[in-house]
Amino acid sequence: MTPADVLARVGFLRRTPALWGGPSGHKEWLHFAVRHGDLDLLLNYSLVDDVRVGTPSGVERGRAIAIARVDGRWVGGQDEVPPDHVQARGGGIDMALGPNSVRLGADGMHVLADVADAGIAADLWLRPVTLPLPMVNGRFPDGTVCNWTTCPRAVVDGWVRVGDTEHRLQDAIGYHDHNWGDFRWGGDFAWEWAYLHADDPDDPWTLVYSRLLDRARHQSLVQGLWVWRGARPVRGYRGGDLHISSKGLLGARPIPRFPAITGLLRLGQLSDVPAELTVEADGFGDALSFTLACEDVAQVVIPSDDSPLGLTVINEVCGHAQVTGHCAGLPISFSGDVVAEFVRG
Amino acid sequence: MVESYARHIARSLELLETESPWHRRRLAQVLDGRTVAVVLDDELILIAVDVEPGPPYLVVAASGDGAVRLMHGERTLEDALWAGTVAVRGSVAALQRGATALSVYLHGLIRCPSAAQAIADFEATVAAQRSPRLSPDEHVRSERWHQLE
Repeated sequence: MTPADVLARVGFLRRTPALWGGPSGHKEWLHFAVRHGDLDLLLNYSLVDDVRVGTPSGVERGRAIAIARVDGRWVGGQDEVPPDHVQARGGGIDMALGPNSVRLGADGMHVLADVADAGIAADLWLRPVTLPLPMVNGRFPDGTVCNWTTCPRAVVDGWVRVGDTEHRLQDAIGYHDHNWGDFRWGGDFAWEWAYLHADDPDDPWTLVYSRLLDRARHQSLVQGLWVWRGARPVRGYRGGDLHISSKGLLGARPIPRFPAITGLLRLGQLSDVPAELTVEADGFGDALSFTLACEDVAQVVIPSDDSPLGLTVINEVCGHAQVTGHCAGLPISFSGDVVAEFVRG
Repeated sequence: MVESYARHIARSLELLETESPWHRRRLAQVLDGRTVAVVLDDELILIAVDVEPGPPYLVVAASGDGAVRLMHGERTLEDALWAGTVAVRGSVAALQRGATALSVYLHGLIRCPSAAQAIADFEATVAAQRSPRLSPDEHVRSERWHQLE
């Protein structure tokens, strides 16, 4: 069974229970990241129940977000897709939001993007090379749930156009995950997430770090560091296996925000992103650690579901990480550019 | 035919009414019957929510291009004010109330499913604008600015 076969079985679209009379409040998105030279690309295709007061149950909002960082400059935006231009098949990985689409076939995922607000288009084939890992029932203090399936390494071919510049990709490294649940933006939570690949594409190690916290970040609710060597997950460190610390804050700077108009909300030049994050894992007779030096940030700003003047900020962070230690009885040592996410409620 | 800026602002308030009514009501409460005058390029727009426009309580001037640059996040409002690409006139209380009204308006707008299209339409109008454009500095020296005093 190939990683794509497994992805079809664990990474499929769940769809909102409101479609068959269940509760409203479902959120679901497919997320992709690709790195190629000086280009970082993030694509996020979401279908979320419209929870604005007075909206009938079963109404969904489809959005395509594209963010690119090219030669140190961020570009991005989001398109809201009218309901009659949304197609999504529950039980499969087959979704179209207007001109943006994802389809999983035997060879991998075909991802098309044309996000007008961002001026970003892409035609990409992602061939998963790591086995996907589902992580379900991450529970927030209010009882809502966040689930995700991560497929942290894919080989990517195709092209990306940012503005007038086209970037051809061949054997680039990519990342994919799928999130779903009934949590509410503005709820009592925060999260941190990062995936780590070596700069050397032949290095077999892939790491994914994630942590769910309460909004004040006094309490870690779920935390883990998962390690793949080649296709196979070889270790999962959880809870007390991990010691996580941070140092400093990323300095004040002009922060690109998406959608861009949220820049007028005077959110300032500070991002509440650490300058440095260190994760140490100890278990199964192994010990490894990584230190992520955060270098730059852009923010996706999302309206709170419950507070009419509240916002949730997703900090998309570029940085560089150094990984050292032993894992599964083997030495591990690599450095690599990293895309990380710090969500602050 | 190029749509007036006033029509775009009226449409955005209609959008709030239908897609985020809490923010429309809150905006009316914040302005509490007051009128904000916006001079955009050479067009005067009087904004009053749920009342007929009266004498302006606060005057804001900018070029259409400058407004689009702000909406694209290319410049902060504070920077634009310091640089003189946006000009405002009013008491401190009026400026504070205006900032609160802008915040409520924007919080509403980003919750509206149709906002992206409305913003794109506004930007198209700015791009198609053929009338002479006044910089905020020129506005401040203009007869219209003084008529609003």
